[in-house]
Amino acid sequence: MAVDEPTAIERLISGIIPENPVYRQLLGMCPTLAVTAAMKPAMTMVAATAFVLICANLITSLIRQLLKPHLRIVVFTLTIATFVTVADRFLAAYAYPMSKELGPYVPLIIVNCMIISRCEVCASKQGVGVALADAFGVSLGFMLALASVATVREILGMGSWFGLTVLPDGFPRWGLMVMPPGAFLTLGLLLALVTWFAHRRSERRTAQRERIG
Amino acid sequence: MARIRDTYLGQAWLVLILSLVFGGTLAGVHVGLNDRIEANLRAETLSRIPELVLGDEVGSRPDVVLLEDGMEVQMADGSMLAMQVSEQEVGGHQVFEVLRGDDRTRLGWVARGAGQGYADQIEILIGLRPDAQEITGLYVLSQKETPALGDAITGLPFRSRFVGVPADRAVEITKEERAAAADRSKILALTAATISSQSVCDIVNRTVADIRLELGK
Repeated sequence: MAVDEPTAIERLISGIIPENPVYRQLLGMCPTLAVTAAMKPAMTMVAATAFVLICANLITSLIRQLLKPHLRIVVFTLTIATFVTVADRFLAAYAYPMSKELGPYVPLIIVNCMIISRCEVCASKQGVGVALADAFGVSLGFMLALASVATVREILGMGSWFGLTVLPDGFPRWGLMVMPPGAFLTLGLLLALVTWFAHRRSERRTAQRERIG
Repeated sequence: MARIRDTYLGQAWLVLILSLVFGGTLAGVHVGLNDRIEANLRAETLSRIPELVLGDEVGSRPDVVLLEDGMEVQMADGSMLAMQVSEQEVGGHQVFEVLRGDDRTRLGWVARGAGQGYADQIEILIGLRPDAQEITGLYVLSQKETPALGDAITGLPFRSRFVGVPADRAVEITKEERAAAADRSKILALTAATISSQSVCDIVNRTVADIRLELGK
């Protein structure tokens, strides 16, 4: 029943860190690895994904009473594909160099499991307000994840952040960080760090509960 | 009532209505943005014309200043060359005639071709000598091939395989380096991206066949 389902504020917060799509659910790995060599393409990808996620959640939530269980995936895919195409065309029109740089990764948002999972888990079951809060929360979580990976890679690989030089010329540039192995190394280390923090937090909570009990 | 619900329309009406609404939305987006996207493509096409026609004389990323009726390009030796570009349609393709700015001698041609790739439509620009007898350059204007595999068609190592290829014979892909070295019309395919390589060759063949005789007159 709806009584047990999370509220809008719970959805918003859980999407950012507790259920972060990249660090906690390991969804959206393709763009996380592919477009995080620098902050500008990473943030453009976040904006496009957020637009698609918000629109898809909104439409899915509005029509949730009409969805037939065996046709819901078709409807989700149709909705997501439409908004991805809109985002792709807008980038080609107003941010042409970035559209060229992102190449096929914008159309590939269609197969980003993060979006279809939010349609399935939240938008197809809850109202518009909760679905929008969920989309904003997950988008912020996705932004946090891509920004963290891109920050490490761009600073260590090119000595810059958002194109602005932040490391002195004498600091050696690690060219590996802007190449595909750099993406895997950075994501792996950040994932380990986040998991270690989450594990330590849960151990502390368990110990606290045992003490109280 | 139960009978209507069990029919195809009764089950799929929502999918059909959404398809119509989304299709209309995409048509609107296309109408609204197509001119701007085409202008972006045209600007990119014009900025690539010098390297497609002049090749090593200007290098792979020359400084190009677009003017109203042409462009100025910095040559590899540091001098500036004024070029005039006129656009025409030949054999159903957009073709640019490239002339030297001062004496209006023809420097070459650039033709736009398109065709199906592995994933989506591939659009390319082909540079040709003034007599349209030889390919002088190739540039991939748009593609959505597999990242890290098929999208290597945009890289200079693959594109440079077309430079100097005779335009009067169809190009073929080969997987053998020795065959490619022995015959200028054989293009070495990209490893693990044979379909993308083949698609580019097909587009080149079709485009050149459509325009070569007309341009050579």
